[in-house]
Amino acid sequence: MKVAILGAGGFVGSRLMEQAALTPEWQFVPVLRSPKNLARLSKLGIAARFADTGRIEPLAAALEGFEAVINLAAGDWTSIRADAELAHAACARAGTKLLIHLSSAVVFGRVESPTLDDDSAPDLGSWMLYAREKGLAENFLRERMGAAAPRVVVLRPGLIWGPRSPWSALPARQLAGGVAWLGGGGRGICNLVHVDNLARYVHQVLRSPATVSGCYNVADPGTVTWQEFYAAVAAGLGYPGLRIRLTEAGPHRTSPGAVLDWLKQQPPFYRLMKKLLKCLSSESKSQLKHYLPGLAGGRYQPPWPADAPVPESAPRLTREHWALQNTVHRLPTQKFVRDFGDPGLMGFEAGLAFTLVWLRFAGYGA
Amino acid sequence: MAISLPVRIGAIGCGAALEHLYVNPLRRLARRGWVQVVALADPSDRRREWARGVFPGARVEAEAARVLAETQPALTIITSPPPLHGAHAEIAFQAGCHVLCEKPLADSVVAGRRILDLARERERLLGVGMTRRFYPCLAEARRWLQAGQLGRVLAYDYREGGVYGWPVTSDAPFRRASSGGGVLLDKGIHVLDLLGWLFGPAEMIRSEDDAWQDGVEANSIVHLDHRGVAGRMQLSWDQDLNSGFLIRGERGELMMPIGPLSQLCFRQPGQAWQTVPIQADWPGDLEAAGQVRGTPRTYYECIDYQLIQMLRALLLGTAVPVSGEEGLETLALVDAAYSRAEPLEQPWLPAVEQALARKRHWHSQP
Repeated sequence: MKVAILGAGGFVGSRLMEQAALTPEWQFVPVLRSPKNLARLSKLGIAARFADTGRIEPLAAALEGFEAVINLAAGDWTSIRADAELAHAACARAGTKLLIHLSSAVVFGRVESPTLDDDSAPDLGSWMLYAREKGLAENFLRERMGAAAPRVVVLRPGLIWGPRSPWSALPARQLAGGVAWLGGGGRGICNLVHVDNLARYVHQVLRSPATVSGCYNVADPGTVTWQEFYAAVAAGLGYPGLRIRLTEAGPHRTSPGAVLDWLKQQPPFYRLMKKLLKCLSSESKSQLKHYLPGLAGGRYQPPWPADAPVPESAPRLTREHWALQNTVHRLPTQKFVRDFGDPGLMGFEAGLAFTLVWLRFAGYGA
Repeated sequence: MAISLPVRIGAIGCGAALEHLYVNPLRRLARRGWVQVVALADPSDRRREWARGVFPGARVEAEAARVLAETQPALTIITSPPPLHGAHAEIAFQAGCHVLCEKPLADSVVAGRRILDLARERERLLGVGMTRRFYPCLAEARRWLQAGQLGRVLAYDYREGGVYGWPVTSDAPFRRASSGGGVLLDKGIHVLDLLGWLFGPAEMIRSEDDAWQDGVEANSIVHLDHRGVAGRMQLSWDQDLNSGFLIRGERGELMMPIGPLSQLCFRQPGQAWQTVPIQADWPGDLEAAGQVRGTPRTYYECIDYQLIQMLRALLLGTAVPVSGEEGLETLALVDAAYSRAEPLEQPWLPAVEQALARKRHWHSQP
């Protein structure tokens, strides 16, 4: 099957491309906006199509001849809705039969109601702009699910973990740096989906003879709490469990980082900041990093002996982490299996084993 | 012929390297009356138009030989793609210019040696652009090593990984035919140069990368031996790693994150990390006494200092910052790493994929 991938240069897209390049079953072609997005695919030596994915005519021309399109474009919140609208319109114009759109479980916030299901409406009042825009993009696509073409399948993953995922590196980096604080007493549900399981969901939609459109929650089998997730990473990397600290406290609101996080959720401020950053030359950005060293990266955590003393630390949770760590319910995924069949997912232990060897490769571990 | 101020400067290649690295440093030096950009060459109409706007006083032509012959720069900076460095250096030497060649010196040892021979034949200076030598933390680490403050150096571990973000204007860097290699040639050439500068000449022990037959490597691991100092260098341009540089000696360890230019820490066995005050500095003027000294704060200021040292070499006969011989030595290490590259072990992939990736490795028989 000939499939175009929008956003193929990202974390999920590059994994889909890597798998596809190893099997004759799929003919996945990356459609990229910029040559630099080919970097994550450079080892494969595959051909890409370049198009101005921000305009309908060139995008539709680039999608000509594909049976399906997978939209993984992951810009910031300001482009989420427009990207979804463009992808849909370009598919319609190019005659593509199927559009698979990657949304996010964040549209349901902390999943506070046990009755939320695949067809529930997104929370458009979320404090998180990203969540609101993901919800609006979903709503736009839902309204077009009745049309003959393209068929639209919205996949709604939780936190995508596994090798190369920032969600896998986060606990490792926190533990290597000293102490990892978990909100909600660590009891919150960690709505994980391993990147290879997400790929299996995508493959299952492409393989399935089903002709439905709809929204589908996608997640790993089983339920894992945040404490269980962190404890498994700590044990696997040889960090003492003592380094995981649990708190019932709310998000930190007064640090400069917390204030900046809050400001970033205010559309006028965010737009202004984005505009200013766009105007800055790479040299000016480099100077900014010199005067604001927190921006310069440099979060190297050198290895230390497993019996090193546990440093003192006060709980400090960002609002996003606090919200995620206070997730109340696991999202149901039965609708996907009912409509497309069993994608044959790997369990938490298997996913963890792959993740741990990657974390060691990436330089973590006591 | 004696060189006078302002030193007449030419550049071959008006792409991203000239635009993002050299434009502002050259303008700053021009404001001080030290340089005058007189000649620019690039085959692209679009890039020539850009160059005319940036350096209105310079002659801008498609053909490098003609513009250099007509304007007679004293120093020509080569910022074209690496496979063209050999031909462009030859043109510059034939026009009687001294040359600062952006890294790598060439895309092969043979081409690099030819450039070196031409410089010797024509009795011209040849410098290689290796800006990391001007990172204050690395220069300070070198002072520590030379002063024997770590005792006998035993080993080091260098790890640098992040998603590629250089604003390339074509996909040429990701094709072996047009780039000559991937992350090893791009970042590795810098790192191998500084490792040789810190620890002395190296022997290639083992090299692994993940490039497939038509691709270039996005990940590379190289094991080196510097006469008893065992080293490991790991690079990635497709994923974030726990990036840092750790040097182990008999009397303690030095540690640097990658990114910040001035962070250097030391610890004695069993003790906590302590920040090392940076004392490294470089001449910041063109007087023989070199009394005005300074320390770069940003990557771009490193380029200023590199250019100043190159001008001092031209005017005062001091050593070029990185000689052609050193550039060639580093290139020989890269060559050795490529010629002996084995498939990178990727145990985070399912066994079937690992086997297929090994089979597809660019050194495997098709």
